[in-house]
Amino acid sequence: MTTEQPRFVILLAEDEPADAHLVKAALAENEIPADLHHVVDGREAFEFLRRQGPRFANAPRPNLILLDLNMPRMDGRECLAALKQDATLRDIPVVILTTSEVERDVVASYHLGAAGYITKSADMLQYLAAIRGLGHYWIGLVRLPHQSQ
Amino acid sequence: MSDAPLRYLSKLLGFAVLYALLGKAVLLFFSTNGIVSVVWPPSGLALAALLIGGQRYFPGVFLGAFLVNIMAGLAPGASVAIATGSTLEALLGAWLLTRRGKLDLDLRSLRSYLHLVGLGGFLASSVAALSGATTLLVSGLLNVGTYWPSVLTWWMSDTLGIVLITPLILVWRRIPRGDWAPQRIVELTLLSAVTVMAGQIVFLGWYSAAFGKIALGYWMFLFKTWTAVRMGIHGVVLLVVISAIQGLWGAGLGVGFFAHDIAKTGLFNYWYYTLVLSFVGMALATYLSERQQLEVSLKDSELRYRTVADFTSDLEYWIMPDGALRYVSPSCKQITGYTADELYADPGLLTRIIHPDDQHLWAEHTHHVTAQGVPKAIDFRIRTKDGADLWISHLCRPVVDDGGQALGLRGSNREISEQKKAEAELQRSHADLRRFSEITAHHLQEPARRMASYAERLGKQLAGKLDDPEARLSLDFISQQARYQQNMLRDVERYLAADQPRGEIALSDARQTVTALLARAQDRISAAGAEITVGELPPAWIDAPRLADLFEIVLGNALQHGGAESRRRRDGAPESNAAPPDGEAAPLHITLDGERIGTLVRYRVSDNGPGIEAQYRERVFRAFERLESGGAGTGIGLAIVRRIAESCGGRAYIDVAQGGGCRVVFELSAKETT
Repeated sequence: MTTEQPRFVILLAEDEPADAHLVKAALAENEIPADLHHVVDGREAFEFLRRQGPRFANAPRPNLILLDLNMPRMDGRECLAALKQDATLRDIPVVILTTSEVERDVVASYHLGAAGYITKSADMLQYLAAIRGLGHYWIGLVRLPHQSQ
Repeated sequence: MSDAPLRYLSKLLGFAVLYALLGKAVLLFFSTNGIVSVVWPPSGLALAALLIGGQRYFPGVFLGAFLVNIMAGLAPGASVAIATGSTLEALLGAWLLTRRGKLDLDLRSLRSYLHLVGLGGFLASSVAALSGATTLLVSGLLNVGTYWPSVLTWWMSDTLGIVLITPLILVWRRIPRGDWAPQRIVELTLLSAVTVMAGQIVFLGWYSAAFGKIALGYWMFLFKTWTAVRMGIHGVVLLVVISAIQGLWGAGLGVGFFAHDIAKTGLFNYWYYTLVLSFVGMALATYLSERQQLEVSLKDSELRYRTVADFTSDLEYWIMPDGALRYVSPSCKQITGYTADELYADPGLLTRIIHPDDQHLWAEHTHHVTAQGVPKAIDFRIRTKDGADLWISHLCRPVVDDGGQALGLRGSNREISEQKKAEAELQRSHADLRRFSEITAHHLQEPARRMASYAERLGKQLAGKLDDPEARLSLDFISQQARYQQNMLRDVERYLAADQPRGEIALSDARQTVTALLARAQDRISAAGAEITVGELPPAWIDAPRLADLFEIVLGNALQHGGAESRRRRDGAPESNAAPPDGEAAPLHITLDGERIGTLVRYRVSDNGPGIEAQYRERVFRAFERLESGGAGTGIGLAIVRRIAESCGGRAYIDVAQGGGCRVVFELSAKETT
């Protein structure tokens, strides 16, 4: 899958395989040109970002991180806080993708430095539209810094 | 040179001069007819000075005594000998009196007065008289014939000097405190005037035409007694000295009660009279002063205890073994509506106001207290005087005196109607919530079950017709999620019911429970390739179903998370224990055992899996917390374990098994808990 232009890389941290699959399916159905990498919790996200262990030795640096809030071991809140503390990782935009509609979670997420907050909809059409919007915004519209590697 | 030695020296000299002047004055006024042989006030001054200022002032005594004797015309040698005797006397008296702790210089007790008179007066004077006269005898200033009379004279005069003068100085060192109301001042003045007047009549022969035949010495005892009762120590010491002077004066003039005493007894009679008069007055005054102090401290202590008891908001009482009410706090009026007087008159009211429905509780409690004598709290309702029902929390304990004699019961009663109301409210809302949760969990089960059924049905209907792997995946997710929801709802129900027994609570045989569980879980154990060891398993105080739940959940966790599968899933985590290389993991080994620890039984389920990092050991006990993604676990199991353990008087936690594996520990009560 080598192309001239580096592909847009998304890291998805999501513990529920069914939800992870939905994101993958929505990206594919919206034909969003992005590589999706999937980790199951915050700890694994950091292993990915720091290329720890044989599994992540060649992991690319993502252009965008999609973060679920409720995960085992290190949850989305802890992960987001840790990302924003890390000088080498804090410039990667993080969008929260969660079932939680609790206002407190929304406020806390932006406070911690989230770039966006998307509520997973049970309505498949709405869900697809949300992922489509996400793709257009981050890949088509916004200019992100060039990757240093 | 600092001030202190200078000040000491000037005080010393001042005192010597004072002593010499007093001695000179006594000699001037009473030198005739051997009066001096009966009282020598400077000895009293000397003892008082050493008691107040300290024994280091003895050179002042010596100097003063030497001056007096020189001035009286004695030879220097004799003067030194007499002065040495006087100094020794004062030093000995002061030493005897302060030898065992300090003497109360205010003489507020009979005991301190008796000490002063006995040790400082009689004893010290006799030693001084003997040694002084002996010195004079040895140095040839006395001959054998005059030796004994000299000793006696010295002893008598110094003793009376000390008995009269030392208390006067010590007591009047401080201005009398107390009541200075106008009528009291009038009384004091009148009493003093009458006493002095009586002295004039008795001792100096005033109005002898009217009182001559009846003015006898015993009159003065009446006035001294009166003085002791009404004026205290200060009055007595002063008026005794005045009477003594009046007596001497009369004797010198040849009038009054002692008109012929010099000739008849050589003033022996006067000496005894004055000694006894002083003793009676002072003994009475000091005794009364002591009683007065006792009374004050008793009143203070009574006030203290009464305040503590009376100003309580609870209803406090003390009931004697015969049922009589010894004390009830005034707060009884606010609580029961009955006044303390009503309850004192009818102690049975305290029992009768207890609500009819709660009388049996009270009877049971009374029985318990009388049979076992241990304090025990109960709550019951009372019906107040105006018919309202109040909740009371009652606590009592037997009263026992120092000798172990039973003195009835001491009860405390706190009004707790508000708390009871809140408690009932809370219980109702708990019950409501629990019922609602159980119903909800049940109702939520239904759609989940239907979803699972229909997904399965659809899968079967489409079997062979379904080519699209994406569609197959969706269908699988639906079934899986429906099952997951069912599991979750089952666990929520179990969590909510975890603090409620599901059968009779008894001493449950854990070995039997585990044996049955292992038989049930045989398939899962084989699937995990696990090896199980069962150790000692003492019984615990719990219902059998929940004990089975405990072991089932913890064993299930070990089977699910301890195995190689889990290890592979979590291989990213840096584990400190040396895990064998992938695919060659040692077989899962689970050990179940327990031990008695005091009143608890501690059960342990240990595995040789990857263990749980310290930072997660507490977190996994929270509901819905999981350490692994996916899988069938609901994240509620350990929360259920903790809730069951805590409701059975125990606790649950995780530590490290030998070899670094996970060890789940739960403790339960081993005995009936009340």
